[in-house]
Amino acid sequence: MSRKKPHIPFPNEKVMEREIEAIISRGLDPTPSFGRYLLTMYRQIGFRYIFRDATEIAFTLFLSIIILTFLSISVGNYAAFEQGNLYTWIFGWSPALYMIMAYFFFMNKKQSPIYEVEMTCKYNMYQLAAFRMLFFGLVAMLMNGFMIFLIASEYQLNFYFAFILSTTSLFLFATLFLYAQLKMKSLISKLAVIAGWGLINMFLSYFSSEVYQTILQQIPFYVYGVISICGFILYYKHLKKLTVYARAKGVV
Amino acid sequence: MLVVNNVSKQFGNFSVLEDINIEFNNGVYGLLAPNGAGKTTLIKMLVTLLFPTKGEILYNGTEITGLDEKYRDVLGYLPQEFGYYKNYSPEQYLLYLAALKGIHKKQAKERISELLRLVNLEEASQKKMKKFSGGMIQRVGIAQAMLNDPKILILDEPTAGLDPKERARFRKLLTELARNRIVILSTHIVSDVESIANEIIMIKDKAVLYKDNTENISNLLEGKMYETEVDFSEATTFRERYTSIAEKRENGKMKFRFVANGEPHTEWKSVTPTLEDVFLYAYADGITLNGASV
Repeated sequence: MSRKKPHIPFPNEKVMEREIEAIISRGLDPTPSFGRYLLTMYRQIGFRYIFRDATEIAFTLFLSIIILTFLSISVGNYAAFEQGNLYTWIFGWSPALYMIMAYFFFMNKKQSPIYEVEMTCKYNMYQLAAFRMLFFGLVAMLMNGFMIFLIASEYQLNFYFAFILSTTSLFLFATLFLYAQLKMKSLISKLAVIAGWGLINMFLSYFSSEVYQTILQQIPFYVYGVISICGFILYYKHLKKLTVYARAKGVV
Repeated sequence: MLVVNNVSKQFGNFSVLEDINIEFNNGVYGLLAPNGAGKTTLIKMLVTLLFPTKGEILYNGTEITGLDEKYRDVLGYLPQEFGYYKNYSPEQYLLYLAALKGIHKKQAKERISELLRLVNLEEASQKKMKKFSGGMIQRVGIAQAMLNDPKILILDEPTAGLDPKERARFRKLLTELARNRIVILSTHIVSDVESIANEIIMIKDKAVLYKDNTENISNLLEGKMYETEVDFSEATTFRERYTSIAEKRENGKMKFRFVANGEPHTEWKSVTPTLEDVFLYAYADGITLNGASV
């Protein structure tokens, strides 16, 4: 009998990789996209409980708008606003509402009496925070838009330019804020980021007011548009990281 | 099955727990140790509020942090300092937590009325919690921990603030619940776990001292536990020679319940050791018992 060596086909690297991926994808639960995840969470929990503190948020927002308006009026009495100066003002102060909401209703959340219980529920504080922060960002953008609309009619500003400038500033700050929350450990460094934004803007507008105004106004409209979109995408990605933050870092 | 595998926990340079190995199956586990022994740290690691510095905690073979919300979905937890929103009624509060636990509203309402009946708060379900006594708040806490019918129920000092009747009711409830789940109950009150725990876990010097049933742990002092009456004038000397577990004045003398190694005196009465005797003896300064089953 002739003994012939049987031919066993050996898969190449590509086939092996494809097979491994197929086995893994069948074995693991499919991971939903971040958007779908937020939607599922919203459907399961509902707006009422995601924003359990809606009255407090609305009150804080209302109070902040009043304070910021009076602050603007009193500053306006001392230094008459010129058009260019206003753009600087809008860029520096656009994240203010977001900053207030994010501080009181996210950073301060660890002081909540039921923090530990909330953190051990299926949807914990960080997962809820991702939805809330997205909402805060969008609400701040709309409120800024509304205020700019009121200012624009009074001071003859270019509304669209002012709005895109404000949105750029808002999402740049929001991304920076979330980055600080995710990467920095001490409360002081987190607060320093918040204070840093205001201080740098004040410094630039006070010491090199004209240069700063010129830079802000020279940048073309579409560049702000691109920065705004990129800022929003980065912000969205950081929100996604927030949902797994507790899993990666521990929370107490 | 929940497995704690070589777990150590450090806060900076300060070590709280070292090389802890425990396996939990369905049943009641009493985590018994004095305050400051590391019970709450271990519990916080079991509920993912803290992460081990070393080692791992596995649920059905998978690390609990990796399971993320799937683990929290089967978890019920009552923290030592249980917080609540003062202006909420128990029903509002439980509905809120049920939503966070991913329970649908209709199902949650049925479950909440069932639980409030179970913890005897049915009549107070609509009242604001700011008017509640400590015991009532604690009962709301117990109800919230059971909302999602958890497979792992972890209760940190659950009987604090409960009166004796409520404690008895609570023990009965836990025995019933433990038939098909893991119940881990942390306490420094021996009577809370003595009659209901399938296993007692004692922690001392950052490690597990004993893990066994009540009977076996109590038997560690078998033949060493006595009672006797001593004149007041001799009480101080007696305390120096033997480890006193309990003392009371009786018939104009001091009655001692104590541990003695070696030959007993004729006037001493041998008594059956209890879990509380072992607990008090084990945590007396500088004492170690041999024959521990860890």
